[in-house]
Amino acid sequence: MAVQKILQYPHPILKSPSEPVRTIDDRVGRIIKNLLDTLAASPGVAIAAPQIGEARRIIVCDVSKKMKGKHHGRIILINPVIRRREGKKIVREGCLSVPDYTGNVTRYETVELEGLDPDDRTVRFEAEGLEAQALQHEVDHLDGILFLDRIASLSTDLFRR
Amino acid sequence: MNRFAIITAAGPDRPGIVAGITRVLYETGCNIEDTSMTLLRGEFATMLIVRLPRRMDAEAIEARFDRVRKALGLSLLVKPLSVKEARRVPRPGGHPYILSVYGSDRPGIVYRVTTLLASRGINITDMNTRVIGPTGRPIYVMVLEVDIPRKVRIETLKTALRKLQKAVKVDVTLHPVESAQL
Repeated sequence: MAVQKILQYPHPILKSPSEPVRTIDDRVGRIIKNLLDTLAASPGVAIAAPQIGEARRIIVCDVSKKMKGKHHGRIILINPVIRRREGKKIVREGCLSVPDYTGNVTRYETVELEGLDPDDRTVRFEAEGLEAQALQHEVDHLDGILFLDRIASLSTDLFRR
Repeated sequence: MNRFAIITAAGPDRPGIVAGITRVLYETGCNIEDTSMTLLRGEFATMLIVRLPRRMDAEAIEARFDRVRKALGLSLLVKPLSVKEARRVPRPGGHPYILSVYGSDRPGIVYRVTTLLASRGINITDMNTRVIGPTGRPIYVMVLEVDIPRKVRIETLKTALRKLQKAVKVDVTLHPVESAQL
């Protein structure tokens, strides 16, 4: 249980789909704890299990330090699925696994997510703004998708941070 | 010793410009670092920062472009860069903002806006302008990405932009570029 090293591209796990969690056991509990510890020690607002080398469909997110509007605080989501997307927009984002760059990507202002919480209960909720953006970014990680895959034009959409 | 160079080239757009330029780079052993290329109406323009091979300087590389330059009608320059110049990345000193300016086309819009920015130490990091609208009533559109130093007060800048807006008869919007670290 500790802060883990955040893997960076071109580590192959970042480009591979992660496995769904079948049972929430001690191993999953350890991954969640490690994700929370690693996120707390990072400048980011969300992190996905493959970023710490665990190819399992688990994400954690906490935008409370960065977002003023309505949000859900600390979110731990297992096997997350985006059920609904609304309000396409272009936003700029960076990724802990692709250091030094930010890019303009298309995301949705509002998303509805469904998944399991750490107590194996199904949860379904709506997120908006930065929280929605972060959750879309993390679900992408579970599918082996990086923000670099979503950039429309390199010449104007990729910025050196 | 200059180990890098910046190549700038422009010419009438057609398939094969990038291939023509990069073929020379490949054959001479130049390594392509960062590039930017774009099409402006029918003209294609590119900038490439390259690492030079051991035994060739910028001048020698430039001579190797003679054939492709003629064949494609390109104006092409190779300027040497020191390691320091080539590695220099704009310091992320301030806050990124998008400034959009538009209005009826008239002389001085770009000049007045950019002079105001320069007088406050605001750096332009990206800029595009287009003339749109019907032929008889052209509308000038200008979109800039700027780096606003921390010491500049946004409210003061907005007041100055509002004054300019009246004087030049354009519409101006300034908004921060939010960048999420995920």
